[in-house]
Amino acid sequence: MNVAIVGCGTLGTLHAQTARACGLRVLACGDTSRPRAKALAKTHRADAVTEVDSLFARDDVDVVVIATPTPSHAALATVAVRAGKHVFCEAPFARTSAEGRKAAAAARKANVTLHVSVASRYLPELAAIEEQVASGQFGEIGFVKIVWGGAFPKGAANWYRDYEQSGGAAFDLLIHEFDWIEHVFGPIESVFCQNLLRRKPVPLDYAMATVKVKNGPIAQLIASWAHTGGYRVKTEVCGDKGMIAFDSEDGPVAVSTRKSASAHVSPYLPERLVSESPHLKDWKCFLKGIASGHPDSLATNAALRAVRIAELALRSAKSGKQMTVSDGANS
Amino acid sequence: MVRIGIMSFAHMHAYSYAACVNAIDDAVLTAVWDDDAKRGRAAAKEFGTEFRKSAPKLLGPDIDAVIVCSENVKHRDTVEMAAAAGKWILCEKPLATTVADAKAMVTACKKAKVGLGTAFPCRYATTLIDARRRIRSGEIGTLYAAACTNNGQFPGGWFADEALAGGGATMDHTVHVVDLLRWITGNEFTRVFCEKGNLLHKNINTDDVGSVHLEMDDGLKVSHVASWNRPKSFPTWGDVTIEFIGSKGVMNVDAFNQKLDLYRDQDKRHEWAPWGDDSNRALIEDFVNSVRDRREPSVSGVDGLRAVEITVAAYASAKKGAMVRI
Repeated sequence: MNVAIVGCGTLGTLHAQTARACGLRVLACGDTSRPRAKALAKTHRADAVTEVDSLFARDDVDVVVIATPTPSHAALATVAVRAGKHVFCEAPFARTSAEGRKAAAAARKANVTLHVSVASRYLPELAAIEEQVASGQFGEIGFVKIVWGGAFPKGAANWYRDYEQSGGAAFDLLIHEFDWIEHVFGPIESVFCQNLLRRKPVPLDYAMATVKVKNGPIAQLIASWAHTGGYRVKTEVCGDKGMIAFDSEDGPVAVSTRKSASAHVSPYLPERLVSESPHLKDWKCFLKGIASGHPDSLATNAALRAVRIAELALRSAKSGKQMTVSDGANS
Repeated sequence: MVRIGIMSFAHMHAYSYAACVNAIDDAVLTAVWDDDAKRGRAAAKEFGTEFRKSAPKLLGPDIDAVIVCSENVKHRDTVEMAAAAGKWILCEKPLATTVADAKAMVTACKKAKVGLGTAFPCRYATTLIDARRRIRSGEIGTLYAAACTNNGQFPGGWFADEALAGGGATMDHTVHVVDLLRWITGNEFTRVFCEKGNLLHKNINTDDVGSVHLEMDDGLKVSHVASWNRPKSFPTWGDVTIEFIGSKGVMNVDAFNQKLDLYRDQDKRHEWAPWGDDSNRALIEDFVNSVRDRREPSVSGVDGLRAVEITVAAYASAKKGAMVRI
């Protein structure tokens, strides 16, 4: 299968690499910035384009990767699935749940696979925690705490700093925690959230949320774009028969060089020393969906719910009110 | 010599305080009283002092000051009795379980012209004093947010009985952290939200998890976990932690993370052994000095009252499902 990359920044580059590792061919790289499109195209001996719409019209493109800033995800996905392409879309699925619903419906109608990245579920420690919870050894889980994040992310034209576009940490980062909580413990019924959304003196955001899982635990979730170092994940899962804890600061290899710390810290998933990266697992999940020949509506619904909850988190942070999350993806 | 009496050993901190009094040169544990006579007699024996059969008997002329460690809801009666007898008082936290009780205690002590202190030993912890100094010297700039925890193992007994404790984990484990933030920032809390539940311990009728969000009058946003979520096999009793987010940086405080890891084959246990300064000792020393100097203890009854106001508002918020003004 042939892949077209839309959005050739850090994540587009990463997905191009991962697609190739899965045996796919990167055929074209699209980005509104010609230098970025050309740079990635050169690596993969692919075509570089700045008019991304032209990619959807190509018959030789089977799969489209969407790795642009969040607000354009859903519209691009909608066009791509209507053109009969399978789509791998970066998370968040959409900036609003209305747009997300439209893209999901279009994918169902076109009978193609629309996969929204769930790489965070494949972080080895989160997958291992999921297994421990499922073992039942720790009894009924009553409380979960996740602390997650690092430095303020750098994107094309500093788009993360435009909180209308990125939604800040409560949207862009907490969305992964909401997804994981629902994936492991069940539907979230309410959300309360605080955030900072600071622009001055330096761009900085820090989100603190409490969610209640229906007939399940209370979870306190913290997401940071306020730290100075690399990406940290700290998790606690407390049950009536014990507790599971993880802290990424406690790792197998630590290096510090005498040169001052590198200015660029990846805002994306932290690296883990395992042979199969979370991104590769995420891609394998996507390809399995394509092979099965039908749209994975369960996964799309999960991505829609995460967008909905993140939307409500932002609304809670603005109003100071606890928001009720209704059942289903479409409400 | 400052002559001290302890009123009730219902709260286990009484045992640490008794040991501290015995260890301080210019203080003496003159007598103890407990409405549970068996527990009181045993404690008197343990600390080499006299057991007295009633509160009025304890409050005799040979006692200068008392430490009150009864069940939360009994604090008010005990404190009012001691104040009427003209004794200096150090009361275990939370000061009371209702704002009315806490206010009455502060008023009674003011009227009787005796000092009233709230037992917030965290304020005397060397680690937290350092954290406060760093914040106040502007090391991380203007504060924007603080994410706190006060997790603990399940204390059991009356702590899980709302009729005696006035609440559960949120009542037990919110006051330290809100007091610390008032002390560190010099600001007051304005609003609180709380989601709580009985999710970890069966057969109790109160909350063992509280997830709390607060705002202070300078705009500081605060989250807090008040819980009894540490299992029996956890290597220590719990924690007090704060992550501060400031304009110039981040500061992480783990107040009791001065410890040794112990791995014992004998009982297959992994445990932490603390080696830091003893904040209880500093708390009791300040109290003894306040009695000798006839001044208010450094952490006052009003500080205790403020923490009660916030905790009571957190419970009101949990009931309402919305943020509540303090």
